[in-house]
Amino acid sequence: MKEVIFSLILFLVGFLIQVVVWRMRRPRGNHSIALSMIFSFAFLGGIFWVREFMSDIDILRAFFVFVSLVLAYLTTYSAVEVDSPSLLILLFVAAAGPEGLTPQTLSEKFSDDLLVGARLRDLVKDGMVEEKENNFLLTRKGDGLASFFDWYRGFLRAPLGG
Amino acid sequence: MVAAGAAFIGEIFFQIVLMRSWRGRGMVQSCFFGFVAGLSIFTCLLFFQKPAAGLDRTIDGLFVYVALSYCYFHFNNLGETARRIRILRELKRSVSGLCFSELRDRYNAQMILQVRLSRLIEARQIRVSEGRYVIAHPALLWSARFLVFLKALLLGRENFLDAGPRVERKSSV
Repeated sequence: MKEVIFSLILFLVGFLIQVVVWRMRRPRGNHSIALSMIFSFAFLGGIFWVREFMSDIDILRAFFVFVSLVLAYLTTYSAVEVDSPSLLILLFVAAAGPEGLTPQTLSEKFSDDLLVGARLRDLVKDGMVEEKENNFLLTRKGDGLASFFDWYRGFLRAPLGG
Repeated sequence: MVAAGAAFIGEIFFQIVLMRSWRGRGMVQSCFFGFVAGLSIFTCLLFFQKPAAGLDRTIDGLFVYVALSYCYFHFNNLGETARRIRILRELKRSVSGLCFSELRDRYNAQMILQVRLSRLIEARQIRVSEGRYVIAHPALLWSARFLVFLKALLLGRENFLDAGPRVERKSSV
């Protein structure tokens, strides 16, 4: 229990550092690396202060709890950066109040550029897709990821998804 | 921690078996039942452990297991709903790449909207009332509002559309 509390405190410290850094100057590029560094700093700093009061086994347990918490947060953070269409639908419908929203009105809020074009631009920015003469092609990085999900979804016998 | 690890492996195993036997349908349900199976494994391992795990270690292990299960659910969700993954897979299927209009023919806003509306209605998060969409159960809505709060806190933006930097368009998209 004390490892959970200790890890939660360190996680909150890391989160507060992230808020300050993000509000001052959000890092460019892949944020996972910046976030990993921030949370690593928070954990190591915390261990430095409590190492006399916790045994090595306790510190190891706290590490596992902390890492699982950070992984869960990194998973959630991706939804902060890029809006999920499902959650947008819910927010638009809720904003319409008890009268609700017609299918046409809802449909007008989502364009191909918003839902597909923006993601395609992200893929180009992340080096997964390249554009050549108005044609979009996979880079090696993009091909690797696409191949993995082709295999994984095939293994699960799952449909294309999206 | 060992119990948490074993439970997580058990969860993955059950979830995969269920997905394959259901022909790839019911990702959410398979993750839920996989989670329950993993929790059962966790409980059994703690019960038979000698010496018995105290409350502290049980809570630690449970916390790790729940967090890892959460991550695993979202990993599966990537293949199920992520637009970027779908775009990558569509591009992989085409031999010579796709222009934006060709990609749009295969995957566009209307398709995305219809699939998500179906899922939300099936999950009873929204319902159709006199031809209009209204909120039914607010569970996912509260998740959406929490993300809006995080977005405002971290990115300083309060509207719900994309908060990423507006990249100057040099491409044909």
